Amino acid sequence: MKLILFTATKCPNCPKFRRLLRETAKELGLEEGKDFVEKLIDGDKVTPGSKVEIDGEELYIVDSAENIKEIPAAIGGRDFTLDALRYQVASTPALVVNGELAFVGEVPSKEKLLEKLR
Amino acid sequence: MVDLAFLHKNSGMKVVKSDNSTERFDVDKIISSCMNAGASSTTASEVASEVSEKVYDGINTHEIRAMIYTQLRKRNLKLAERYKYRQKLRVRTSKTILDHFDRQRIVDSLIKETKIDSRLAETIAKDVEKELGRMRLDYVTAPLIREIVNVKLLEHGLEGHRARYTRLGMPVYDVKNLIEIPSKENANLQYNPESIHKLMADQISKEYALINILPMELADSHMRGEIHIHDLDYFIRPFCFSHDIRFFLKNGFKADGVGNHTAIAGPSKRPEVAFLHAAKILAAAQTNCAGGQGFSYFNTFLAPYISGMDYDKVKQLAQMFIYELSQMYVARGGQVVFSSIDCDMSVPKQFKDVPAVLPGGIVKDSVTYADFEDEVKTFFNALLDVYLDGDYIGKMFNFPKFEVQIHPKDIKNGKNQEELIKVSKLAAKFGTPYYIVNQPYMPEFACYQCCSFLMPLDDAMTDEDVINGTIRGGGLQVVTINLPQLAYEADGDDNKLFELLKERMEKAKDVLILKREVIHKNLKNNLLPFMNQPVNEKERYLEPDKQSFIIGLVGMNELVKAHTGEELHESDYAWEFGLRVMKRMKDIVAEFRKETGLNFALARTPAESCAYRLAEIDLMKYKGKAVVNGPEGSAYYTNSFHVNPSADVPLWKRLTLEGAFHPLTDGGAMSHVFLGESNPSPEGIHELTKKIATKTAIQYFAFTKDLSVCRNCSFTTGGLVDKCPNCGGNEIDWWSRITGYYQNIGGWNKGKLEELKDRRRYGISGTKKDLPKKAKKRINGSGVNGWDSDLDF
Repeated sequence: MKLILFTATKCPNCPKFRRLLRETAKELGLEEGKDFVEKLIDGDKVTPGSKVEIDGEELYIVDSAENIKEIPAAIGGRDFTLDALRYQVASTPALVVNGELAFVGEVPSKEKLLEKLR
Repeated sequence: MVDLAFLHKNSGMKVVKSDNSTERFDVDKIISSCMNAGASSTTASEVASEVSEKVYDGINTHEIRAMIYTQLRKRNLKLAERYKYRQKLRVRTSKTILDHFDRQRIVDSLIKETKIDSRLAETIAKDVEKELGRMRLDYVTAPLIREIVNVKLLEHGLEGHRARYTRLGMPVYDVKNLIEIPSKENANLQYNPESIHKLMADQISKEYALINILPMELADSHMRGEIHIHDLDYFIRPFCFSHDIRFFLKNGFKADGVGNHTAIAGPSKRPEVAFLHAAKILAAAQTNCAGGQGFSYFNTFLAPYISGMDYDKVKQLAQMFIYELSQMYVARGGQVVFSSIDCDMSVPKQFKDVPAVLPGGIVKDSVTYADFEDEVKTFFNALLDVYLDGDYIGKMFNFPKFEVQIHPKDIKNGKNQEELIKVSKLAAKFGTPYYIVNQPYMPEFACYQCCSFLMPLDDAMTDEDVINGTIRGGGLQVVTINLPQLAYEADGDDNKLFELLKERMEKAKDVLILKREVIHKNLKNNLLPFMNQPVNEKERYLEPDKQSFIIGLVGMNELVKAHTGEELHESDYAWEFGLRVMKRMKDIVAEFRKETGLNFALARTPAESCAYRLAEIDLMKYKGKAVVNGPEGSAYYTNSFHVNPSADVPLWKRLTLEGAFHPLTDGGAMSHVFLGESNPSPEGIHELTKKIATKTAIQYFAFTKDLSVCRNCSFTTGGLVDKCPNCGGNEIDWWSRITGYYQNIGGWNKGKLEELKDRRRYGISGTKKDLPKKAKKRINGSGVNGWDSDLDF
């Protein structure tokens, strides 16, 4: 299973979705960086390899999923807007499951999320 | 030696002119008319002297001329003949009278109209007179003289002055053809006296815009096909408008905006009147605007008026309204109003707590739109039933366009499912509905209308507008960028391509800014009285600075093909390159917004004529380099960022490729599902609707079903058929969605017809269908000549 969580730096609901996804993924035995990644769509101003605080959470920014060493981490350093659009994502937070848009512009309930991940 | 004493002789005498008016005898006139015929000043003075000896009080001009002729003849036969000719030469003037040729008139008009100095004007007028003398005509017309003046202006290198001095209009041959040759029936413009007047007027106003409103640089950019300025024949009008019916429910209705020329109605107390006002408001606004006229939240705002009514009565009202708008054959030279209604399946959350406008225009704080949930639903269903029935003989209603607001969240929660199924039935039967998907990235107040332009009303209004019933706005003008041309010019160089893109968009911006000035001026002069109505102490109904200034695009697919070698659907790289171009456009538009403080918007253009016009221009200009669809003469570019209509790709891939582009527009986008089955299943359409709304970024779409209508028995059937399944007749009209509305294909241009032929049609289950060979054959070579269709959206 491949999950991509699209987030943005000034997105009120993103931290909530991030927490929910991490929690749920853990329960399902999914590994961050391998099974799921977070992409910051406006993260082109952050330098890969640095730690940044976004919405009160500390994220370790990497340039690709393979380089994730610390958790939590996010991919940044370039404009992901077009990447997001290719998955039909135009608002954040959004979750893409195996290449298909599952949630966009909302934080689902845990049950709804589990429905999509099972 | 001539005795000059005669100059003062007889100066008190009266001369009777040919129109029986009198003037004082003036000997100078004799001298100048002789000299104009070529006499020397001595000869002229001699003749004048002789003639003044013989004049008497009450003599007429005819006698004077005869005397001059005799005197000249005595001296020089050739001179006399020239004089005679000049005196005989009559000018047919615009005042429909015959007048003598008078050079001074040329001088005066040149000074007045072109502002050249009087000496130059004098020289040109003399040249013209000589030219006329050479031609030996019995009479000349004022337009002919003007043409000759134009030639002389050009000979003096005064091109710009020529443009100001020229006449606008059409060749006699064209007017004769318009009047005497019945044009093929065309869905928007019937062959009737009104439409002929409109077409004649269109020609003049279009030329006027190109020659006198637009600076030459921008007009030429349009001519070269770099940009396409839409609706040039209506450049003095704003384009489309989305209305708030509450304003009229509260204040009543003045069809002419002021009440001088029409009766004034107060706020409607009864539902019938409210519905009739609704229809008339759009017709009235159409007289001031070029493009579509629509109501946003139509059934929500009228819901209080049907309170307590049984369903049949509500349906009757809905029927009356739809018939009004599909029968009032009054707008823009005998067409129906280009109308649309945005409808809700339940009360939109923004209006739940807003006090409702009640019959009589009354507003009570205690009654809000939330109190009319049932009425909104009932009314929505009634409208649907009317559309499902079709007209008296079962033919579809193509106007008002039926725009349905759908919400992905509601779809996920199963809310309003019954209504959505019913809408699907309508889509399966006639293809009528347009779906506005309220995606999370969209503005809260989104209205779609005209040929599917999104009105992001958030920018155009305030909270007061929401409460007071003045949510309104539209697009002031549309200018489309010809994208493939950028690729031909850039020769594979990315930087050059993006530079050129900026340059062309700057030109589009200049046109839009100019349009703003035009509309400001026209409002000031009260040329647009309906749109100029005051809304309150500060605002007019149309506030130009709050409208959308729309920049559109055509041929993204061909740009990508010319630049990368592949079409949008052929590789991920090509697709992403397209998205990059689009993103750049969006960023440039955002810069324009910042720079001007005006609401610039990027939108996909319906491109009904420009997709054809620009492709044909580029074929001529770029020859082998041009990437177009269809053969020369009926070439076309793919609309906006659409995947090539003929691309052999599964439906879902087509939709997702296009879906990625939708959020990059801020003034509207549309995707099409062209249906190949004559009887698609409503359930299938319902399922696909849900999938599109929740799994793509598409914000607006429609299912298009080709329709055949029998001329003999008016039976309507799906698909493009040759024989009526009902009566066996073989005179069949074909209908399809050109881009943003249904139209009889008899009115389509050659490019659009080629596209109709090429469209990849799909079965709802995902199967692909081609148009039958027979149908393709019939379409081949047909189509309206020229790319100036009557609607240029």
